[in-house]
Amino acid sequence: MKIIEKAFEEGRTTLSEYESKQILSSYGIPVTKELLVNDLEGLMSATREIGYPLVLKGCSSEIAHKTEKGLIRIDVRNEEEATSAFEDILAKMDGEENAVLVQEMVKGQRELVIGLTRDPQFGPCVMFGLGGIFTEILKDISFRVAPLEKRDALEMMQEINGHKILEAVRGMEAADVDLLADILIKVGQIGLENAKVKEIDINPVVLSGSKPVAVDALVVLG
Amino acid sequence: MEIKPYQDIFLNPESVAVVGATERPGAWGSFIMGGLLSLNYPGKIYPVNRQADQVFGIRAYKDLRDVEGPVDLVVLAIPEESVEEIMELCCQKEVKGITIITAGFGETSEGGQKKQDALADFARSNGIRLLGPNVSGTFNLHAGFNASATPAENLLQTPIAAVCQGGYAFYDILSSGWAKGLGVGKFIHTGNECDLTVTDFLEYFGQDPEVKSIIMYIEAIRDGKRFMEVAREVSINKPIVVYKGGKTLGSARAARSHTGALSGKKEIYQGLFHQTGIITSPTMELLLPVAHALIERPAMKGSRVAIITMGGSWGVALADALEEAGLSVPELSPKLQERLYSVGMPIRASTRNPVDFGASGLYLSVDTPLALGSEILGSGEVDALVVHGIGRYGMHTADTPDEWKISLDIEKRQIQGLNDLQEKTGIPVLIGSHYSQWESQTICDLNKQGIRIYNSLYELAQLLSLMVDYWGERPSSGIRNSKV
Repeated sequence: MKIIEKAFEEGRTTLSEYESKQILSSYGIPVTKELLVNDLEGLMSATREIGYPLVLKGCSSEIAHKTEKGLIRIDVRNEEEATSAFEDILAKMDGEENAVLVQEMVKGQRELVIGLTRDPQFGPCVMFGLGGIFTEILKDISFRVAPLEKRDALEMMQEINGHKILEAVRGMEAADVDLLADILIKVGQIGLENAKVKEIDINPVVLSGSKPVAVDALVVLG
Repeated sequence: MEIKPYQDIFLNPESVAVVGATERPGAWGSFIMGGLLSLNYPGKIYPVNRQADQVFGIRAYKDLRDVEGPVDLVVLAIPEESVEEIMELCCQKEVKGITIITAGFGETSEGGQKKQDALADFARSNGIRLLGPNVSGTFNLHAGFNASATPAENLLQTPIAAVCQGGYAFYDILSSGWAKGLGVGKFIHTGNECDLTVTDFLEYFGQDPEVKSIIMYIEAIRDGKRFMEVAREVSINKPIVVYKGGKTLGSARAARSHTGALSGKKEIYQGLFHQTGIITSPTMELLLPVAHALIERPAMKGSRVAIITMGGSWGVALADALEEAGLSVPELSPKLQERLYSVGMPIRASTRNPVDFGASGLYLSVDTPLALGSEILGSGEVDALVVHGIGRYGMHTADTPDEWKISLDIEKRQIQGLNDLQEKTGIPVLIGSHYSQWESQTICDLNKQGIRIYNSLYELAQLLSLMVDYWGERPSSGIRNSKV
């Protein structure tokens, strides 16, 4: 894949959120609608296209943990807020390729995590679990070795303790498990087809109604 | 001439040489000889010992090459330093397989891994297969072959086979299992796996018509992809029950991603066992009982369990354990409870489930418990019946009062009758007691009659839960066996 080759040539070991999502998207995995901008003109054009409210994120291949660095601004509602957030974020980034991701704001209370790791004996393994801020705290996860069949994907989702979150709870629709299964299978395929992909984090995958959307992503190369 | 699979030599050798054979107590060379001689092995045994003319009455040889006939399998019970030298002699003697009992090598000793690899290369380039190093032996009771440290008197031949990366602990499990009518007919310990791995023998037993189920103790799988392929194929026809031992190897490498940091070995193994149809046992101790239950009992078609209990609190505690394990203990329908009253349960005794037979005061009736069992099993409301709280403390002697002996006899007939309902109804019936066969005459006698008695509520619950896993349907209760 070109993005991967390019990054490799540049000696990088991680892809930016934008690049990571392009990889996911090329495999048909639903991602947030987003545009990368690096000046005010680009920002305005992007905000018009994406529509308010939206999210602004500092985007660079070197920054793995954006929340801690204050590089995310959510619920941006108008031009004024967008401009000030944009400048603020740029000021906080001191890398070389500074760009800001203008992203649709996906509404959904349920967050999942989907990932990929490479096991020395078994090869690429797909992970599923409860996502968001609780991922490391609860470690409510399950694994399968790629390639996954649909049955594996469906079963692994039922294995986490919090699996009922996928049902119609508290007035929210039940998650589209077929779509989720599809994503799990495809993440496995990414690992099988791209030897240079070492790890993938998609956290959170937000359930917008019943539909899963990858809101953040990290691809690690190695 | 039929070409036998390469694994066969470790289970059906026509001749075996024990290098390091000795009568010295406590030496592995004496354990292995003891094992071989404890069965009517139809093949040839050749002890190889530089200092002895005979070992346990069998003619010994100073050098392996002095043996007249062919030698299929060599068992090496010698110090690490001598192993390489002997390998050369084995080569000259054109043996087919070598079991290296010797410990050391591998990750523990300095340069051990390299030495191990060198042994494997040498052997393979000379057409010899290696088991070990660091193994406790192999046996095949079906063929009268026991090159292991456990005497055959304490091994029970069954259609179950064991493939383990750990061995000695298994002898404990097998010997104590023998007293309960549990055992394996074939046993392989793979140890450091410098050549042959657990996958090789999983494949072999998968095709072996004498084997109906396979238990495994696994710490680390070296040939991951192949293991998964083989396991998938084998598990279609035969239950594979695995205990995964060893610490979670957390991701020691500095993982850049959260996924990498969360990928402990334990979770990955859990996932792939599900993927390949393997049943995971939560404990070592449950391996044998589960393997037996899966081939001896009818299918668990659902997860509803009825309890007939002799002691009210046993019923409650057992219900708790069952629910904890993801099963359900449903209240019996009013109609069914009516029928239970009509076959003799007094009104004061609870029939909701658990059915409190103890409270009924009908200890001396053989018919009533049978009728209760029949009604429950015939109702379509349950998928298994557990009868618990049976037996009383004490072994009988000549001085035991007659009333005790009479009540013992009645209780045995009750339990035998209930146990027989399993075959009649095609629904699993399990019997539980707090007492082992050493503590209670009832349990001792029932055990001798071939009735399995489970001593632990946890074990009962886990066993039923694994049966449900194996046979299929299960309501999602939020409690997953693999998480326990």
